[in-house]
Amino acid sequence: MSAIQQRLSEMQDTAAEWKRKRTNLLGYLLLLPAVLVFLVLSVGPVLYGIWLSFQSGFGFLDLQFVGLENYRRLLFDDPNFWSSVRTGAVYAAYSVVLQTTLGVAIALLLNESFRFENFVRTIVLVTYLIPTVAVAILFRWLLNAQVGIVNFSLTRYAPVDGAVNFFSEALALHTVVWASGWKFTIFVVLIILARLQSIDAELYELARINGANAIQRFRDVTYPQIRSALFLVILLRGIFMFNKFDMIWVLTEGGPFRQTETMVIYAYKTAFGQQSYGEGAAVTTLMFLLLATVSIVYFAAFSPEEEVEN
Amino acid sequence: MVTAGLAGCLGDDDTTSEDGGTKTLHLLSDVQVEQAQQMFEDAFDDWAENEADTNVEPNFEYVPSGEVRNTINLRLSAEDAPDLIFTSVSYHAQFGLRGHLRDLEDIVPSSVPDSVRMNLDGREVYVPGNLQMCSSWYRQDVYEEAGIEWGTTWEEQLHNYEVLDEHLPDDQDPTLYVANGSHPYMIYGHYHPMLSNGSQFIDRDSNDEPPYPVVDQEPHRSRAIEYLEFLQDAYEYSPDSVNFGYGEATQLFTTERVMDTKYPARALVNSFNENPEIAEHVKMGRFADTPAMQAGESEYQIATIGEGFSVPTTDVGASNPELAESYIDYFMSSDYYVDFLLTVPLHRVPADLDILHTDRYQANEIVQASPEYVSYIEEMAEGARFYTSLTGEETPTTYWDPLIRGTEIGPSMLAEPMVGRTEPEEAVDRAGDRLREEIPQFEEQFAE
Repeated sequence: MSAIQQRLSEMQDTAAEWKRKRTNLLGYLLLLPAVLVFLVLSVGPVLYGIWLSFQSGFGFLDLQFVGLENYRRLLFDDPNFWSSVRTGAVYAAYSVVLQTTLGVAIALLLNESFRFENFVRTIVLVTYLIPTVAVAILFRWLLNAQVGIVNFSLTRYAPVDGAVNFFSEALALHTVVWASGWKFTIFVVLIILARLQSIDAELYELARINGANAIQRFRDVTYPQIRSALFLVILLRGIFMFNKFDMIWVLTEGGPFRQTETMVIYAYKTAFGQQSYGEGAAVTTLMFLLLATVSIVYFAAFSPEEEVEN
Repeated sequence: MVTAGLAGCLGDDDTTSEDGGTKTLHLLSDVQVEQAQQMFEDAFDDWAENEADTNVEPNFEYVPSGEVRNTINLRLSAEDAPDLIFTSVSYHAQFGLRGHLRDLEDIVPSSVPDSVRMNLDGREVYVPGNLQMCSSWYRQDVYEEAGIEWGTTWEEQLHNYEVLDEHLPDDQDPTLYVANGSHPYMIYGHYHPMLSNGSQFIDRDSNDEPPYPVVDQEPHRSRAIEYLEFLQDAYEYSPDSVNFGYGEATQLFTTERVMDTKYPARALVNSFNENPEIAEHVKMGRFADTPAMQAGESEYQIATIGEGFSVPTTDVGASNPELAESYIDYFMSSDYYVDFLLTVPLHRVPADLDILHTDRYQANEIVQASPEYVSYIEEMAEGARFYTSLTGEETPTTYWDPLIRGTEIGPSMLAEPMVGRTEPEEAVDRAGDRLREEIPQFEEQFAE
């Protein structure tokens, strides 16, 4: 290679390098707004919340650094905190089981071919389109012991003597979970239905040829295909339900007698009821750590990557 | 006329406009009754026209009761304080303790008794507007049908409910409004009888002494346990719904399901407004004597809450404190104030008891129909104490309420043994332990 050719080659390399860098720079610049928004609206508040959890004081007035005192108090001196952890876990687990079971069943039904299938699929989506607060208010009225249509129907058409108090100590948690199920099951339906529709019909045909009945077809064809989606759904629903605030707050405000007081409700009451923002922030920080730990364990135990690859 | 809320919610603290020297008077309140809000606003119109020596625009911001403390806190923190605040006495106490409220000694009406004033280290930071004198209300017609009379002791009260339970049809239940498990402040209402039997959490001899916990010391421990045992029994007759809030509970009183409510005149007003044929049967009953009172070991004492005005200092962003004081002075001496009290007759008892006998107050039909309640108020008002000054002989102390209300002590102590989750003894001792831990923190905080 002559010196000129070598020089040209070097210049071309430099130009290519410059072009690559410019492209990268443009990419970074285009990303910058999104990164800034993420930092300001997500990372910032999270860090502020963690900082606040080390402070004590009335509201935002007279904040003082108290180290780990808020955590010590919650973890070792506050039975209500542990009660809220238990209630939150029960609410999340109960909701996930309910929503996943119903969601998969509904998705399997909707995956079948029938008249007006597109219309029905659209109608099913409606529950997801109604704001959660509106759903909660609707359920409050529907289940009202005095004027609720459910109690009216029960006392009029069913062998029920008196009005059922759906918000009593015994029933409040069930009521909140089923109301949440009505609203959020469709999330599971959507994910699973999308996965079901991508399954090759030939697999079912082969199973039928080999004499598999419906249960066997579900076990040997459907389930392996939706396992990775189920993994994701269970994880997401678990996190979402553990963090759920609006539905519970509007329905019960955490009562009666703390029967529906989950961690997030407890954090809200601590921060905005008692004006103890530091302790409230400590509850949410612990909640974050708890969810992160559970997620890591969940990933380690179920190895989703392998499922996806398969 | 009035732009209620919006400007305030948007943080419009531009209270002094340059053009024409117009100022804005920003009132923040948790008063929810529209007629009562209207009294503030009508009084403003008159005051602005006749008393204010400058052009003043109103900015009335009304927030729900559950949010008012947080709203005030945020505004003071942001140095965006309103010019005046009308809310519960305990909130004024909290902010007054931190030095954020002005001394209003000059405008507190001289007729207001010392027992309901709030004096913080020599500064009167609160203009008392009204008290809320709790008592029990019951349906006399239902009691008579069942052949019973109002119970004057705990035992008689519980016996009455057993009789009513037997007497009433299956689809009706006697309901003793003793608690709402979902809401700390609703359970908090139970401090009324609890305090009247001397089982209060904290005792103190004067303003100058630090508070100390007594709930786990005798005789208070035994009394507290007695009271919690009573609540355990009474719980059987309490509404078990999470959704029975203040309004709904008193609403139920107008139906045949609720025979007794501890809420004062709200229930009466509901009856008059919505079920007048029931209203004539609604009678006032005094709180039942406790075992300690029967034994002569404790005296009847009413703990009360109240509402009134305070004026934040300019340090936290208030712009027109002098105007605010002028407005309060005008409002409290006007007919608007009496009409404000009468928006919920007898529920808002005037801090100045002489108003009870004014023609304007007595013209109200509910007041006329309840002479026994007026007498009860007059008789008990002397012994009434705000939550903030339960046992103090001097002017109201301010520690008790923030301490109890700011923690989970009260609700836990009451709610858990009520539903049988813990034994009363355990609940009392746990409350004592918690108080012993928290009081030094409060002392330190207040000392600062």
